[in-house]
Amino acid sequence: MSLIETELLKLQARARQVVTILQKRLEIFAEAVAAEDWPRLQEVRRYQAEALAQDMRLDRRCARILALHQPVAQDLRLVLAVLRMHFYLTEISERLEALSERLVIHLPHIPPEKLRRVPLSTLINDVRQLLDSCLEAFFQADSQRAKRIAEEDDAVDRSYERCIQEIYTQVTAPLSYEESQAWIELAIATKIFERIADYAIGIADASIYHTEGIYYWHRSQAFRGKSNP
Amino acid sequence: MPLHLQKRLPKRWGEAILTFLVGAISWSMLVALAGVVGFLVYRGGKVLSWEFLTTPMREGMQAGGIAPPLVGSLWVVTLALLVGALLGTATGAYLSEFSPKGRLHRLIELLVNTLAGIPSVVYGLFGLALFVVALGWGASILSGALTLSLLSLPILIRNAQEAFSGVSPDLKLASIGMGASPAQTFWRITLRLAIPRLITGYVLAMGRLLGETAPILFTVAAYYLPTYPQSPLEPTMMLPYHLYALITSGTNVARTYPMAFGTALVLVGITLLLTTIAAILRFRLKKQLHV
Amino acid sequence: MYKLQAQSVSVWYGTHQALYDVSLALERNHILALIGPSGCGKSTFLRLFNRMNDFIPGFRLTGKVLIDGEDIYAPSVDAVLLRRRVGMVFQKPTPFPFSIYENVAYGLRLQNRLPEKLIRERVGQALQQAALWDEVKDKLKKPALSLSGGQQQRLCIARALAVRPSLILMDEPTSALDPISTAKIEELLADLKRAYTIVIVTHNMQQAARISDYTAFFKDGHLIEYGRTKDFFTNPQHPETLRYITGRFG
Repeated sequence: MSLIETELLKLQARARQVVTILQKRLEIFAEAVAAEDWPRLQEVRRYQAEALAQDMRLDRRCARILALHQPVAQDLRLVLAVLRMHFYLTEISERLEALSERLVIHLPHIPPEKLRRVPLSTLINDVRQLLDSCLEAFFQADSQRAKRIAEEDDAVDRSYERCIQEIYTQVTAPLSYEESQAWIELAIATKIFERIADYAIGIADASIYHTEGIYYWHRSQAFRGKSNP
Repeated sequence: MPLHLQKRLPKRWGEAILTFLVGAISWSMLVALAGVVGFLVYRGGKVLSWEFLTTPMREGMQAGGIAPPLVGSLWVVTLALLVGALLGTATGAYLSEFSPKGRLHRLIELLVNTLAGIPSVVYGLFGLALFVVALGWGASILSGALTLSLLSLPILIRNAQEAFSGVSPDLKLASIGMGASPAQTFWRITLRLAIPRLITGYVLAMGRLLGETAPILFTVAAYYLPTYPQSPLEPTMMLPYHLYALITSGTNVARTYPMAFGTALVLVGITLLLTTIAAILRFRLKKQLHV
Repeated sequence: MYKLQAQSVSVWYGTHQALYDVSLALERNHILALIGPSGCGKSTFLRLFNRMNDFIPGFRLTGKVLIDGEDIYAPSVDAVLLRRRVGMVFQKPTPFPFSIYENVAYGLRLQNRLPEKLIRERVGQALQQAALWDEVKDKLKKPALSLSGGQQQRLCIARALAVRPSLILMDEPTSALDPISTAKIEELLADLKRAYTIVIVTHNMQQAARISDYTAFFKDGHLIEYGRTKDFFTNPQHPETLRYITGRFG
């Protein structure tokens, strides 16, 4: 195997490590929400140090490959795609951390039977599935799959709509101060999940760039202006 | 007239004239050579026969063959070549491979160059003084061979030097880099690769030595000795001297002239044969060493 | 202990000084690349380690050159024996005019008579380490000159490996080869590193970046910078180094 092939394989292994940590954190978040175990949301923060270390290593490895091996064509695009994916993953991690901190504080103020009306778990799991698919497409270098996924990301949109409609309904009733705050935080949280889905599509986009060398969606399109708060 | 044509016309003519002149000169050399050989064949061809080459002369050199001088020449020249090749190659090896390139080296080269320019008759006198008289060997194959070997030394030394220097220095360095001593490198690489060139040199030297007349005059050549030499301390007839004898001091010139031309033809024939062998050998040995 | 070391080494050829006070050290099983513009002294420095500079008239050295802690310029050291422990591969492939087998066996035959069976084994191992075995195993008796350029250079590498040297020196080993042969040899070097210590002079910076663990940059006889390759090419310390590797001169 040539020198650069070895290096690129190592790079992908490192990228997978970063991805695994994020997927773990999302899993904890989903389980906590499903079990209505709000304190557990804080476990997400526990992986922060490891995530930062992995981020740095991935970045350094990309720099090293560019400096020492001068990759061209698809190899170069792989390194650039990994950097882009890394950026999105960092964004997702940071959002997730911020979210979990705030929800821990506010969600207990909503009565469980009202909260259950909001299909939050569905939204979270839809987003997780979308992210997993996009990551799979990335690591398998499967641009057909990447294109298909992005075309069919309605699941997340629909879950989001149902959540937000329910939230709109709930806040029209008279509520205590803490409960109002909590519903607003929940609304913001669902919005953020929708944004995470957009980042996942960005990863699919990077995957298409890697394999085919084209920018399938312009970045502004990737965020598709659905997000008008 | 367009510019580019203006410039080229005179040049093209100049080139054509030059090519023609050079070709004409080369062809004229060939013609001259063919002329000489042709002349020899014309005058001496009729005496050539197997008998001519293998039987001794009769009737005071007016009939018969030239076997004794032929055999004598071969003996003397072969012995001379053996000695000369050994000494010459060793010296050439020393000069090319082993001597530190300082003042001694330059002195030796100067001496060798000087030796190359000394007329062959001087070598003959030297051989006379040393081998024939001082060492007391008299006119003999030994004296003649050693004198001829001295004559051949400068050529063979230079030939060996160039043969060894001509071996790619990269290969010698590679051998040294592997940890071979200079001697090992010489035996295994340099000598092996120089063999085609060396052998060519030896064969060509042999051709030259066969024709040398002055050195053999005082040291080995007998005027009339129609027998074959039994020991290296005996004199013997030699081809070049025999040729001279047939032309100048023959009793019946009309009969001896054709024999003289025949002898010349034999000499030229042997030289041509040796040159051809040298060329073939070089070609085949080179092929063996390079793929 | 370091595999090789230079301590304040300066080299003169007659009155011309070729190296100025160079010091560096290398551990075993690493690859060191020497880079720099033409005439900067990198080949001179390389050849210090097998004393090939001894043949150049006027060669003079101050400072110490150590291999495995031993000063190789000490009067008691036999240069010929040293060269059997240090292998060298040159820029132009130089196969000897023998068969492939005899080429690789050359170094083994220089030493005291080794049994033929052992020689056969070592030749086979060396050819495998040089990634040439599969291509020549059926024609070991064919002349070495019948091989292509890239194969000839790998043969020269096998020849150097056969004597199991502790250190291998390479002077621009791929600059006379086509890109595919070059790539094959570079992959080979990455493998060789596990068993040997290698110093390679290259005028191709990208090659130095790809294959070496440490890089030394020479200019006008001075060692300007020496460091781990990955730091060297991402964040060099000396401004001269920066100018050289980014291609900005003058």
